[in-house]
Amino acid sequence: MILNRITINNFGAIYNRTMEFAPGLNLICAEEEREILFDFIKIMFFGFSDPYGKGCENDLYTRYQPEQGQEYGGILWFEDHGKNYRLTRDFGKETYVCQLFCQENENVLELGSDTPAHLIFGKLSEKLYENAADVKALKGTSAADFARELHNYLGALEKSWDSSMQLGRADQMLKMWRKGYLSQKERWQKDVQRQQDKMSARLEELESQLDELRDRKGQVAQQQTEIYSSASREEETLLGEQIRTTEKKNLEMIAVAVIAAVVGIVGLVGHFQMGDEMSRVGMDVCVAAAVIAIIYSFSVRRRLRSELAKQKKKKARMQVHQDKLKFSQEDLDENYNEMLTAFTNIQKDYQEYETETALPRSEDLEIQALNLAMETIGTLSGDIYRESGRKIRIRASRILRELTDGKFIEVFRDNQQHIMLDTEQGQAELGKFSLADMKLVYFAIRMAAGELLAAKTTLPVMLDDLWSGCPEEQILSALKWLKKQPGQIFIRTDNAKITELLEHIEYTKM
Amino acid sequence: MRFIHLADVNLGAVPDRGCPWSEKRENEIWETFRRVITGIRENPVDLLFIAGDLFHRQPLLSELKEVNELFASIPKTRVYLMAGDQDYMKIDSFYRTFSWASNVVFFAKEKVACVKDEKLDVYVYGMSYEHPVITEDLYAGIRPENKEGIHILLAHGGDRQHCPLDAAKLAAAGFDYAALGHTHAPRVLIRDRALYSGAPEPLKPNDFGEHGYIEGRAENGRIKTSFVPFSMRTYQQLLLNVNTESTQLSLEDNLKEELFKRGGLNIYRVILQGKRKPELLLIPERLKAFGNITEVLDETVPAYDLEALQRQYAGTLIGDYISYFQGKNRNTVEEKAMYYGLQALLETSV
Repeated sequence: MILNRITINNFGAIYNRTMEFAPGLNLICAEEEREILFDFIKIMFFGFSDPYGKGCENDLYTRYQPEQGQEYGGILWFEDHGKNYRLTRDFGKETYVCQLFCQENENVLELGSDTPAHLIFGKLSEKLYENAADVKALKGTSAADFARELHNYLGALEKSWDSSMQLGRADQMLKMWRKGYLSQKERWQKDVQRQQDKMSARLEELESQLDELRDRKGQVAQQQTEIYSSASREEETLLGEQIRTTEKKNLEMIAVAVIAAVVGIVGLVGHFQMGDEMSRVGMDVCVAAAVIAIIYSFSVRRRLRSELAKQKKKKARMQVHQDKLKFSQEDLDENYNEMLTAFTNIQKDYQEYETETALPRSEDLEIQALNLAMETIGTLSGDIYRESGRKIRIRASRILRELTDGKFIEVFRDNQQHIMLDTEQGQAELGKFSLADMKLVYFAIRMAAGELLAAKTTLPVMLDDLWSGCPEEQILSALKWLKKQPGQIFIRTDNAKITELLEHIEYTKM
Repeated sequence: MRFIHLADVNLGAVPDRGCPWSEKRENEIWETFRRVITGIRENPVDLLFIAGDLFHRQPLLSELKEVNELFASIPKTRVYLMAGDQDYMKIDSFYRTFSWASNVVFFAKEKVACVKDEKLDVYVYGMSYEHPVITEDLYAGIRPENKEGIHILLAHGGDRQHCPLDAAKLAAAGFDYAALGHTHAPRVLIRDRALYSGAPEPLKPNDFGEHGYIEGRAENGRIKTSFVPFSMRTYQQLLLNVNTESTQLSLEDNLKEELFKRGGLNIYRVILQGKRKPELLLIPERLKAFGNITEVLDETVPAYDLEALQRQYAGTLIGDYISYFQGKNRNTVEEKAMYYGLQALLETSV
């Protein structure tokens, strides 16, 4: 593709101006025009993209928009595949025009809000166009800075086909977001742990109370066992027998007293009714014996009553003890069951809480998504690196050999991914070379990348002055190499040395 | 004849464990139950049905005593109670030995029994869970006795693990009313004839909507029911729309306004939706400070025009990245991953 002429109506700092271009080398001297010119050409082909939505304040449309009421657009005449075209665009919001006119067959394509890029460049996207056609100088002024810049540039290009990418920073950003979610999750996990600790503490408390109750139950059971042991039972039986024996004796004494009373009454009656002395003496003896028997039975009964009372008291004490143990056991059982139920309930609560908190949370989803994003970027950039890295280095090495007449043989990466340069003097890391040599390598890489990115299309390339501080012969060989290329080159420089060197080569000054 | 149908009270449950309002919620479940009883005391109904899961776990003896005292305080109301799958009658359950007040009928077997209320001529059928899982439909063959009167079935379950209930069979059985329990949300199985009352207080963050009990009355031999919202709070899902003009501050203001409108006592799950300005860094966690908020889900995406970006970056890593995800039937994680990666790549590029 060759750009023949452009008319810029109003675009940034350029107002109503027409510029003519020639095939081959073109020199642009005004620095600020270079960027506007590149953006104008790009926007003529690709239009203003608004992928960031309305929220974006620094978009190109706003940046280059003229004052209200002024025409915003221009015309671009170019030649592509042997045909001449005229592309007319008006970017005014109400008067949006995009017209592509083929001068050979006089066909007019009204594209409206669509862009002609796909018709002209096929699959070449705006970003690839930018990377291929806009060659800017690296910022580093010292050799070390330049080497780092070059390393970053090549790294970005090899891994993304886009030198504006900063994969390391993107990775850091994703990791930072992930860290945010991880700490959020950690805070939540601490809360969960606190709840679990609280429940565990309650469980431990209940467990110790249950142990205590179990001990007390054991003691009561032991006491009950003792009560119901054979010795205790024997004692109880013996006591029962003793009570029965005492009661029997008591009854016997009552019977003795009754019989004695009867005998005494009979003796007393006989004493008064008997006539003879002997009989009366006999009766008196009976009465005396009866009195003695009654007195004896009373004294024995008193002793037996007190004995019986003692035995009954003992038995009652035993009974009370048994009842007390029984009630105590019932009370303990009730408490124990209550506590055991509370314990199993909390255990279940604990399990349920554990299950609930094991479910994935929203943070997990975010963390998974961030991991997937990092993995995918890694995989896709790896794929690009495998596909592009070697191609760029092979083509850049060939350009380098052409530029240096074979003194520089190859640019490659070693096992540690350092950029290495193979020269007639041997191999060394790029940082070991002079700034001028590194600039030459950068130029070769940029040209190689431009060719590979543009694929079959030959794009007009906008080139910064890449050679400040370089020896004349190096600049001249680069300019000669550029002159031999089929595409159109725009060099932006105010470097008198380059202008002087260009005098040896055919070029057009704008 | 008037009745109240309660179920799934879940006394003893601790909702939203770990949240600042959790302890309050535990007390509120008891409080709501007491309020129901107080309401009955003031305006007595003839029957109170509790269709299972009165307790969240095995009831403690002290809890049964407390509940029994409450029942005893409404002597004009006859209470019909059954154990559900949560408070099922374990071998050592206090349910088995507890002596209820004279106005309480507790169905103590895992077999449907019928109890007749002589005064009202109402037949109540019910049973209790003796196991936490019952896969058999124990209500399948149950038919009302062929006697004059109102026949009411007290049933708990409905899913495969808990007495699967067949609505058609239930309708065909011919009960005048089936007081159902198990689902926490109120649900009508057959209008005015078979209803789940739901839990009177919501228990989990996804128990959205109104909660309360069912009030019924017999009119001309037919049962008429109405749902009475009674919970102290509700769980609500609050959707906040985000656009490219939104900021963290405007979002916080919107949330405060919404919470004020809907009630500060309610418990919310906040979902952020819409397209945000790509450079806006949202901190969803900060929104939790403005009310009873269990979770904030950020479903917003940066306002990228993916097609335009794909066109602009085709052939580069960003183009490949978009194509990789665009070509998929994306799940939530993939959708989020796409935007995360894209944002990182775009924001860090120079």
